[in-house]
Amino acid sequence: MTSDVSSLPLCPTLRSKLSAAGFTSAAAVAQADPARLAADAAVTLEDAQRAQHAADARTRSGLAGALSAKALYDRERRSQRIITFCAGLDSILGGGVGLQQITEVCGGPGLGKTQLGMQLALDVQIPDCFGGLGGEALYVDAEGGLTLERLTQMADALAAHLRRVAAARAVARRAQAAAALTRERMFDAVHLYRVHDLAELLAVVDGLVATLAARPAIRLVVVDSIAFPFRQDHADLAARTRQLAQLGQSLMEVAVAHDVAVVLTNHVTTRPGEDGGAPPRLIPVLGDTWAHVATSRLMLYWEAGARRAFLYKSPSQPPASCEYLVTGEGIRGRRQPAKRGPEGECRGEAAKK
Amino acid sequence: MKSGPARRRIQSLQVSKCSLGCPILDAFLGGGLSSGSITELVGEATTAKTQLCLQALVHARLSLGGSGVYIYTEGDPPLDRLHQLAQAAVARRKTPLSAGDVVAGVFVERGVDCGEALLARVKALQPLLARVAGTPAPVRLLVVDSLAAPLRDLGPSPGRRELLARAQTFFRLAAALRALADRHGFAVLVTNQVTDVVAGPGAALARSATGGAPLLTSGREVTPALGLAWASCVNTRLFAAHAAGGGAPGPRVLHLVWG
Repeated sequence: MTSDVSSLPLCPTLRSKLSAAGFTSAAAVAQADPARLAADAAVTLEDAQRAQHAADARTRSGLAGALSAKALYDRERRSQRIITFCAGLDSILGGGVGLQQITEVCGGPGLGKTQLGMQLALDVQIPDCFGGLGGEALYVDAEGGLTLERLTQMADALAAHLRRVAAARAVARRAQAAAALTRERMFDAVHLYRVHDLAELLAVVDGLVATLAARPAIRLVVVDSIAFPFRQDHADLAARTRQLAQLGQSLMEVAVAHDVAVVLTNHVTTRPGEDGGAPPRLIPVLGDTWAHVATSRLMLYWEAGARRAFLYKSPSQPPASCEYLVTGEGIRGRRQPAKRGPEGECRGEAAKK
Repeated sequence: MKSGPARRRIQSLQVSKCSLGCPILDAFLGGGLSSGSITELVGEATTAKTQLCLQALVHARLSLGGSGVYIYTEGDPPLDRLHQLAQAAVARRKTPLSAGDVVAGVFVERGVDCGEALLARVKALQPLLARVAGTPAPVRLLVVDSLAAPLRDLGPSPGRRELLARAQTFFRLAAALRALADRHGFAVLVTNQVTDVVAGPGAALARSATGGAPLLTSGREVTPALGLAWASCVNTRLFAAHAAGGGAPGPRVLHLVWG
């Protein structure tokens, strides 16, 4: 039995896309990260998973390359991400925002940090049968950015998308799950806390352990923004640094202990240019101590009028950047020009489970 | 165990919008100004920022039955203008209110000459807000016109320290405004001025406060005053521009920069 991709029991189009993307052996397909496989071969995540099952079966029957139970479990765990709905962002993040880690999103105003937080608070709710976590979100709003209008728009778009996917390919429970995800359900699944100053923020974080223990369905904690409460008091820098470090530690402990993703938004400021040297540029606020707290760091910025994200710190992904859009439906990727589809459909579908 | 703020229900975030007194502008803003957040109106002089503020105050009274607070920082407040606008609005719609009733519902604050004074004045509003909260005309709109006047001038030779101190004032002010707006259910409208953008490496940075694209007024590129720190405090940024070059009276355009 050959271990070539061309001999796998898959449809010919899928096989040729996989080989064209460089996955020529069953082993290569089996060992790849599913989201990466989907992105590189320009196929849906579902097709990628189907290819992987076929490849697994093929490689296992050859004993060499058999995946142990632990390896399978680890791959499951690692591949549990919360998608952003932009294929580019999901790809550079390694499939989406990761659990058991702190992801920092920094950038100037108007770039969509709050929009991304809101999108994730909805995407964490994507039901299991669609490949999502089927979880809830805890959202700490320190800037008054979360509005009912906008969340409604994004929720409606997500629900419509899930219904379309359920209709396109009948898979057990999908139609039911999509129908069950009403606006009411989606709003109830976002636990919103509004904080106005540092004391209130710290109080909410202090209570996180109890809150998460009482609501194990919560798989995402968003703080938008971590910067605003801290920037109200520059006076005692030493105290601020200490508080930041402690806060970072608490959040990391919570992320690991409760298996949740923590997403924090941060501001940027201008670092003055050096005399006769480098021009002024934008850097994240809150200083160097804070820089070590986040597991992954994403910097949002403008380039020629377009929004871009740059992943510059990650435990597993290489530095990379991509474009993203803020549309009426939420965070999305740029549609490939060649691909014609219904309004709002985009490459985001390719990476979605 | 410290007890922090209670959980809010998303559904309870639905709040009435504060009309700007013009259906086209209101539609542009999705119904009007949102409460609990800060909307900023940026523009060079003569782009009718004060006019819009006064109109919004008049309409807060006429459509929402709400009182307003008007903090004017550029000298003598334009009370005649406010009265004129109130008269015109009352004449246009069927209402038992007189122009005098409308104007009486606007609490005017003046003589604010620096950032600390502004912050103190905002915090000192709490008793007034509490007092009218139970009446049929609670405060629905708070206007600061303009924020730039008391905060723009950094002194003779501003360094990093002056900038940081001013930034701190911005964050405290924004926090105080939003906390009050959230608790009492009113919208906050703040006006701001512009600075010319000089071509060069600074231009790209200037655009980090303008939604990534150049803002043009009277044919030249500008950026909102008060920098990136203040920009990070604004939920909705609106830019009022002169479409024609040379500052000649002509069509004015309103852009939604973000929000």
